[in-house]
Amino acid sequence: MKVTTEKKPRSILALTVELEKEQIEKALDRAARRMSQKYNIPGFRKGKAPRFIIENYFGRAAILDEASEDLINRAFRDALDQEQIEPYGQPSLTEVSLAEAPYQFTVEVPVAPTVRLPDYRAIHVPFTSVEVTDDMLQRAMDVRRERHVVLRALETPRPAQQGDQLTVELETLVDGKPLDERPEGTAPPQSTLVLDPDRLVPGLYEGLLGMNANTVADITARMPDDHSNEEVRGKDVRFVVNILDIQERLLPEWDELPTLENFDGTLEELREKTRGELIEVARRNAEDETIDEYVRQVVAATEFDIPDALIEREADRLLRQREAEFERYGVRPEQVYEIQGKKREDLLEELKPQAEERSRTNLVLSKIVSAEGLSPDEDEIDQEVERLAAAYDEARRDNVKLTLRTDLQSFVASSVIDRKLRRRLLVIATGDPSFEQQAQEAAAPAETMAGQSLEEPVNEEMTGSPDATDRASEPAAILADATGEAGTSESNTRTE
Amino acid sequence: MNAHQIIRRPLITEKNTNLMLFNKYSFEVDRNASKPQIKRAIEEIFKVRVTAVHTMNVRGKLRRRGREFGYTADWKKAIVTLAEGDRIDLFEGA
Repeated sequence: MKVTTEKKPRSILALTVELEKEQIEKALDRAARRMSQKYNIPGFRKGKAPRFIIENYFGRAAILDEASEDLINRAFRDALDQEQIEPYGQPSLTEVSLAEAPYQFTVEVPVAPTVRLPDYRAIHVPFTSVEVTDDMLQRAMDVRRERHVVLRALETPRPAQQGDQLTVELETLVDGKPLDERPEGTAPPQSTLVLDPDRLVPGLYEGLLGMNANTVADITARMPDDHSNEEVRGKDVRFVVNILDIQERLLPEWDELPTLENFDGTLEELREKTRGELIEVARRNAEDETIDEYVRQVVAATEFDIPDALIEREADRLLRQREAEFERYGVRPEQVYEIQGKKREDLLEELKPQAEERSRTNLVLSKIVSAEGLSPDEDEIDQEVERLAAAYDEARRDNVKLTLRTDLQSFVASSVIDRKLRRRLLVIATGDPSFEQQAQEAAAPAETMAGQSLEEPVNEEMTGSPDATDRASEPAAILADATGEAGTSESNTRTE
Repeated sequence: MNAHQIIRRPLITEKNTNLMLFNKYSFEVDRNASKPQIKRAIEEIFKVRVTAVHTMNVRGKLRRRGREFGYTADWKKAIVTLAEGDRIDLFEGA
């Protein structure tokens, strides 16, 4: 058997396998035997007809046909062995000529992508930490207080004042057209607005101030140029607000807050704790940004040769994730596709650019992991297991630990590597080795309420949802996928 | 009778294929053909040397169609032994 390989673009390897006559004959023998078992040939019991009878009865071409699949499969496998090629996806047969010498066929196999990392250690991204200002702290504290607000119906009707909560039917019109589509003739859905200049778009607040319940306010306001919704940016927007009800919002006194928050300490201590959380979150966000930017730059500077098969697989995975999400809401994905008028294949196609991006990031990250020689050691695995198990109650903890050590070991390991990678990337990106030392403290989960308060507390209720940022692009999340291979996410849910 | 009238067709069956290992080939022949005639015919058609001819009359089989009974035709089978080294490519284009 002679194998010649030829490299083609997109990580495709063309294998031309030349077979010896013997191999062909052997395969034909096998095929003839199979055929004799399959077909009835007069004068012979099944499986008893010799090869030359079959050959005369069906013709050589028919046997060759029967033989070729088996022959090519075997030869292909042997060829892969011989050349030590790891196929990365479905091979495709491009050329077959087995009927006469030279007996050969050509197969194109996607092989592992080649990734040539740039000198990633030379790439630097500045680390810009966000200062936690008193203003931010105050807002976070406001949010805390806000959570304990008590609504009270007005004893005597009065015009709306600042701080009131209005129950309204709000219609938003841009260029005379409603912003949100809804069935003809129905009233806009009910929503609530808090009358506060910080929470409503400029214009709307002023327009609603002093209105009475059961009246309709018709307000036109110009949106700022930096509004999060592109559709309204810098435009005149008309709000038709049907005020149904006005309620007073009673905020707790500041002194009551620690008690309400189940916080053991004074207001000042609570404030300090909040500040600490804010700083932590700000630091994490800044780290995330640095890492994201760094990874983006490395990816951009890396040379790739990725087989389409890999991208397709990634696209498929993304779509599956999405489908799983639909299913969690009790919607069958097919229904969604029907409504969207799209086929699954179209969506796969659409996801490809994103999938390619993710594949690239994955590849780069795993390349860096191996280039940096990052691997979890026993201690770190132990710590990680302890950390993960701590989230469960005492009774189940031992069980959880056991699962984590056995079935989910790869998951644990990849999460350890994740964290190490994160630290290492920060060090490389910023050139500041102190980041690696923070690894320990960073291990503590930072899922605190301060996380929410840093996000825009001004929930402008007028214009749908702000574009949700795709956190899937977070390096850590990706890496878990890359190293944990077959779904760390599934295994994750198993313990829950 | 010419050679092709005597030799009707080769018999290609499992049993006869096995006989070929002993250089014996089987044919359906004319019922009235004699062994010497068969020998000559085979030698003429296939250009081989025949060392022996065995023949047998094969009785027709009983067949029924509804309540009617009948027989398939009787026929004569000849098993021809060839001289060593000769062979018939019976099956070429059979």
